[in-house]
Amino acid sequence: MATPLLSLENVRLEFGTEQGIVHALRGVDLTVGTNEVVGLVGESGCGKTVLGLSVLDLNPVPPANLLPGSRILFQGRDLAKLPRNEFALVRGTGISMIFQEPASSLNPVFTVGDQIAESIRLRIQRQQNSQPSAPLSQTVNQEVLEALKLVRIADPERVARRYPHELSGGMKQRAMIAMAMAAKPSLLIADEPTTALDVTIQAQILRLMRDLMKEVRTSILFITHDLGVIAEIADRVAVMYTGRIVEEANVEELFKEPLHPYTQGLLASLPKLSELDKEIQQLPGSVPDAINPPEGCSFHPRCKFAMDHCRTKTPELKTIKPGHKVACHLY
Amino acid sequence: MKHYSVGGTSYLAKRLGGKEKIVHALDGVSFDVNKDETLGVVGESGCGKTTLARTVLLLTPPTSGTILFEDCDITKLPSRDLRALRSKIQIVFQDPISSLDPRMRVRDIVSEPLIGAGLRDQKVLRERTEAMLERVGLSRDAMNRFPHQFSGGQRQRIGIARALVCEPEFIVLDEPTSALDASIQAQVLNLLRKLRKDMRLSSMFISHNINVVCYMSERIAVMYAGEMVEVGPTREILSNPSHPYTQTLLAAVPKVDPTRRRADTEIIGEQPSPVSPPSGCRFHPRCPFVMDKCRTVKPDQIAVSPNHWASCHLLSK
Amino acid sequence: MGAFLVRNKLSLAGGIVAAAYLVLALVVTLVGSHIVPYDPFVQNFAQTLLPPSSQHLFGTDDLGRDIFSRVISGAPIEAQIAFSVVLVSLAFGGTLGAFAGYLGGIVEEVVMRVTDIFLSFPALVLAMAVAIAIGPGLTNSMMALLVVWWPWYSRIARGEALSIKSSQYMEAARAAGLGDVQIVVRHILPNILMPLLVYATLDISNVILTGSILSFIGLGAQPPQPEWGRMVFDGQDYLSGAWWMSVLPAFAIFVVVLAFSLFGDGLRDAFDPKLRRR
Repeated sequence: MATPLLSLENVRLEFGTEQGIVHALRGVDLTVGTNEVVGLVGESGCGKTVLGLSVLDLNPVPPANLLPGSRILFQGRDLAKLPRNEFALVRGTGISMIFQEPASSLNPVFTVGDQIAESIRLRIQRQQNSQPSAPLSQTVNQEVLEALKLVRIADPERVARRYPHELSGGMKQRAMIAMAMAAKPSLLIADEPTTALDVTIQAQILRLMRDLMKEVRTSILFITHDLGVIAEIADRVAVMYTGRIVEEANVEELFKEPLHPYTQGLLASLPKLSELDKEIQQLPGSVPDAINPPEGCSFHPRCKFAMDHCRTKTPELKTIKPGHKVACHLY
Repeated sequence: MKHYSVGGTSYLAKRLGGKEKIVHALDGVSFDVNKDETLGVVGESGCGKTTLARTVLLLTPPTSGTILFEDCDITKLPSRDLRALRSKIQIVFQDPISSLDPRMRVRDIVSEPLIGAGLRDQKVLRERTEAMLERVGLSRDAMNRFPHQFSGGQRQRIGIARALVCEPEFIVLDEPTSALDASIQAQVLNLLRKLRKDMRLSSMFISHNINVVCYMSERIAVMYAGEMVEVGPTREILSNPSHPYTQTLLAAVPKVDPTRRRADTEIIGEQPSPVSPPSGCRFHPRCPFVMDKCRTVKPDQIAVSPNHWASCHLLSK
Repeated sequence: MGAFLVRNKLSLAGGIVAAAYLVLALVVTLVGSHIVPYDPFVQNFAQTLLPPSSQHLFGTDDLGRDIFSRVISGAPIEAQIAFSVVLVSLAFGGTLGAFAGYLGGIVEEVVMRVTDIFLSFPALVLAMAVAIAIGPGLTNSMMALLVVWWPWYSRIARGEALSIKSSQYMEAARAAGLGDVQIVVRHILPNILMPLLVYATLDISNVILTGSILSFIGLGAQPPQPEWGRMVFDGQDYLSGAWWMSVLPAFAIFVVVLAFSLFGDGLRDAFDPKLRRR
């Protein structure tokens, strides 16, 4: 089997806060292969954003603290062991990240073109660190226009001269994708990129991302709370709950035969246009406190199948069927 | 029987500064809500649904048009009578954090509409507040706590309790679950369904989430750029969407089923700015079926079936 | 907040001194001149202008009165002036500003223009003008300060009211059928109280200082009241010889003003969300 593009092994991370230690990630194992979209889905507080940020070491340290034993491997190399300049190269050229609110990621006092140019320039300089001369502005501008065309912006020269506040939400998000893709990364981490967008714009952006994946051969780690979006775009799905992955499967398999009670509950709680007559099933209780998560399987207080040893023993993520893993004592 | 009837209501705000521009937040919106019925209002950001929620209750008075509640035009009421009416028409807001005064205890927050209605007897206030809190699934000791001690879902329940404590007849629900996680949303939606049946409420359910709106409403109104473009029974609109925008919207919604991924229909453009909406039919720049007429002439409301109309020139052929 | 103050030692020191001063003022008010070694009003021409010694800690003044006793006896005066001016200004100015901010329109215009007129002068100059007009005396100088001090609170209150005016809970209050007065009283006043109080704490030192200056130029307390500013004034002619007559009361003013100032600073920092380190 080929080396996976990204491999997360036993990633554990905590945050020190005034109220206590927040156990944000409690042993996450996840891989992303080449040319695939892995969806990471969960509700607020499950740790999915923290996980995305951990790959590029973007969690503020302190208060974040990556615990020993956590390994993050990109193209087989342990990112924690890379010297700083090599890690800087990985960020932005190997792995890129886009976020939910494009307005806060784009600097309001620079034009869109300038910002894309900056990331291109940095990438070129890092790649040619034996010749630290500034790259030709012609080359850079050319790449800026190409990046904008890549994200299907109709009039790239005009848009490159615009400031972020002059663009609509959808355009800003495309600009951010352009910035992230300008370096042609092997992996794109997308943290709720369409959550703030209208449904019709979201459809456009999702389609764009699928196309980009095929054209540029970029894998995507797509983080979201929206199961509908996951169904649209993901090839494989990992479901997160209180800092752990509780189920992982191919997207069709997950929706057709969810095994973990949390996944089942989540799917049953969504109103679906095709089933308007049925009353949606609600999951009792609420997401537990990340400082004191329940012992054993942290879902047990809300689980209708809870057995005695669910309260004490944490279930491991095991392969039940080919390509389908669950962390649950039922299996 | 019409419970709430909005006729030709507009809210045209003037935006000042340099050139005086008019913001067409709502333009000639007309619809009815029948007794014991929920009308869903769906649309994307900037379509005017938030303004509609405020205008229907006269929190923001419309610039023109009529709003009839049980045959009385509330736009013409003097302010004292309007305040007295408020115990019958209420609203649940979107944001569980900013819709509750952080410095007030829950019991004071929930009993506020009763005070607005003139109730002063402390004992009755307390009893009714307690009863309402229980009905929304909160325990009695919630009364003395502050909003920040509750989760998002619980805060939204507090907001619902506040809206329902004076037993209104009509409520507006402005994106009541948009800020909540999926599993909590399900709880709140089911709670709302139960309460509106028990209390025989008519309501308007506003949201950008089509799945939720369709689940909660018997009839639906689709809004675009400050106008209503299609209104009809939920099932009919889903099986026979007649306005091209409705069709676009339904096509764009992600289905929770990976085997039914969207056909790659190209959806172009974005919603127009309310300051300078397109001439004629406001959807024409994005419409796959646009004709010459659409650019200049605004379409009328054309009946597709007895209860179902859409404003599109395609239907008048 | 307590944790923050402990971290900021200067502020804490200021707070302790300010608290000690207030306790002293309270004790003197209750118990009167019993706790001081000498009667602050009795003149003794045999003991005039004595330098500080073990019998007269701060020395004596030109009329033979023990300065230490006078300083202690005069302590409550500063506190009384400061607290009454600040509290009344806060109540009046704060409420006025809250209504102005919420109601908007002509009410806001009128209140803000009036406020602007007051704010365009330094407080001291205005207070002096009023004090001259109504005549000297401690109560008069307090009234002068009251007339002049409320606009600052108005402006703060109005700004705070504006920022919460468009919150959803304000809309909810209107949707509940509350009238304007009810809304301001139930929602705006409680929510703006904190920033006003923080400002008020900082302001106490300003009032003490301004009040003392009014007395220092002869407009405030009149003899034989042992008000500190007045005492500085009285000792002016003797600065080269019996410096302790002016300098020591001035030092007392300095210590108290500094204490409240440091404490108020720390309080303001503790409530400033941007400075909180999480």
